[in-house]
Amino acid sequence: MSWKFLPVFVVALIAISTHVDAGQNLAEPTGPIILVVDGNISHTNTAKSSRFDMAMLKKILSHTIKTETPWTDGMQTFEGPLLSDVLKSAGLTGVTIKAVAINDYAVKIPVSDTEKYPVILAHTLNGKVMPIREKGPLWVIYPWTDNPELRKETIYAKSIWQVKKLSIQ
Amino acid sequence: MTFNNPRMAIWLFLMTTVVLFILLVTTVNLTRQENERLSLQARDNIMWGAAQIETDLQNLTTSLFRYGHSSSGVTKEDLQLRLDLLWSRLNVFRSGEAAQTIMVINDAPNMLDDIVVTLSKLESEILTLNDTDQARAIGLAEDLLALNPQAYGIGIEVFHFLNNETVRSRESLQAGMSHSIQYLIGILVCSLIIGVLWIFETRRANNYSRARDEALAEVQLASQAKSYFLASMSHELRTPLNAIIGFSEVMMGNVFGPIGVKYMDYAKDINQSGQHLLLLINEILDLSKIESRTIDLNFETVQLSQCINDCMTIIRPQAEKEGIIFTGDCLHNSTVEVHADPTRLRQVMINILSNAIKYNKPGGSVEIWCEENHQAGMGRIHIKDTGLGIPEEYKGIIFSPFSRDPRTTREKEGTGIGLSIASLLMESMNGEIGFKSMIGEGTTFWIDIPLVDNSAAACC
Repeated sequence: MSWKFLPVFVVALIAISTHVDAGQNLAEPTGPIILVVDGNISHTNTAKSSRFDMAMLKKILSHTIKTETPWTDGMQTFEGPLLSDVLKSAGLTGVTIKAVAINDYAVKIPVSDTEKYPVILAHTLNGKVMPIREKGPLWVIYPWTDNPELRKETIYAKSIWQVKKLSIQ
Repeated sequence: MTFNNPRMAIWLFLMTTVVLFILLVTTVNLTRQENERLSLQARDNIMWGAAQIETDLQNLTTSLFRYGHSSSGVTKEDLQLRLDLLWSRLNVFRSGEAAQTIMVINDAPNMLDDIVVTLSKLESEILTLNDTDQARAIGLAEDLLALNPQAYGIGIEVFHFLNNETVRSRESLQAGMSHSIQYLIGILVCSLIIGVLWIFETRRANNYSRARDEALAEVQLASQAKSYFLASMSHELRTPLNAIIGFSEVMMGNVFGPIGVKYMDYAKDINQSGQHLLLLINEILDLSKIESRTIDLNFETVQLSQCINDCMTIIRPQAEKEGIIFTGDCLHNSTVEVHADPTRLRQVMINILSNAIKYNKPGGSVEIWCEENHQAGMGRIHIKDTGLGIPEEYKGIIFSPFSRDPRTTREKEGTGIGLSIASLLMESMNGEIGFKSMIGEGTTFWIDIPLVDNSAAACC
């Protein structure tokens, strides 16, 4: 092997290591991608992104919230990973999560919200997967019934449905 | 009544304050509930949702138009997504608060139904479009365009409704706040008035109390002055009386030679009148001394039975003269010892015994006995007669000076101050005097005197 290929080899190595870092041991999605999580690492400013299919999201420890919402009738049981766990699994940290919906509606969720309350990225409502027509496939849910102080317009606005992307800033 | 008025006013204002406070709490509570109700509703979501129906309808329409032009790159999947998104918008108004709210907004439910019905009809056609159906896609897009007025209308209706609701809520909250402030001012004013009335009332009560004390002091001063006057006058009166009684006795004794029968009668009259006057003056002197608290009492241990026997010896001749049966029984109580001035105690007993005999009926009886009440710490002497009895209307005043039963005033001599003296003397000796009487059956007086054991606490 000629030494002239060394720089190419080094660049390829860096590229592979960056990719591994970004993936943080995440398996490659096999089904349709329903969520993209991206963000920046402050010290390198290198862009990273992780893609999830439903199977991958379901592998993250699931959390259940029983709550009433302004958009449903009666008590509902939501199930899905904690938003904070989704960030961890993507190997990302930050102070704000910009959540974007399928129709490009976007809101900013402070990471502190996810530390203070068990905010979940629900993929299941009352045991059923949610289709787009029923605000699926992913819906950010706060535990309103257990925390009356969350029952206000500013929090309701953060409960974004049809989530397709999370950008950590 | 005037004394009660400020207190009634205080009560009235206090009640008003309580009522205002209850109103304040109720209003604050209702306002808080209204505020909570508003915060529980995601009204902005409804406005947003209504606007999104229009947007997503237009997005689907545009996608269909573009699908109709094969070069646009819009796929069947894109159409499916646009359709799903539009349905998700419509579904927002089929559950939760949005469903409840839209039901009461004029034409909005009808317009929503129009869109749902039309979309349901067109849905299968949209989903079965294929690459060669450009003309059909454009036709479907035209059909959807016809739904624009409804989609726009829902937005307008929701906007007006929420506007009205916002104004109504704000006015309701403002009214609640305004009422609360009014009640609060009312409470403050009432509290202020209560405070002022309270200070006023306290001052007035103090003034009243001071005036009463001053009046009482004046009365006591006047009473003392009267007693001093009587004491000194009595002394001045006794001096000439000594001459009258002494010289009348000289005349009655024929010391300077015999006098005629007529003069002897006159001399006896002078002597008797003098004696009566002396008795009267002595009693007035006693009364005034006791009232002015200048009487000297010599307390010592007195054998009650001995004291009673002494009195019986003194009184027996009077009883025999009046034909009254006089008995006494103190032998078995000979050990009762009381703490008193023996002379003054005898005076009290003789006074009552004398009355018992004087106001008895012919052939009646007088009985005297004593007993001991260890629990009360008192020795008690009973003097029972079989006289006329004391009428009900005199029972309250017989210990007052110069009060006499009018039935006997003319027949019997007396000053009407004997019982007053007895009562005041007993009071001075820390004892008490009282009676039970029944008209026609007689009267039983009782005299309580502190026992020796009890006297230390009682008199010193």
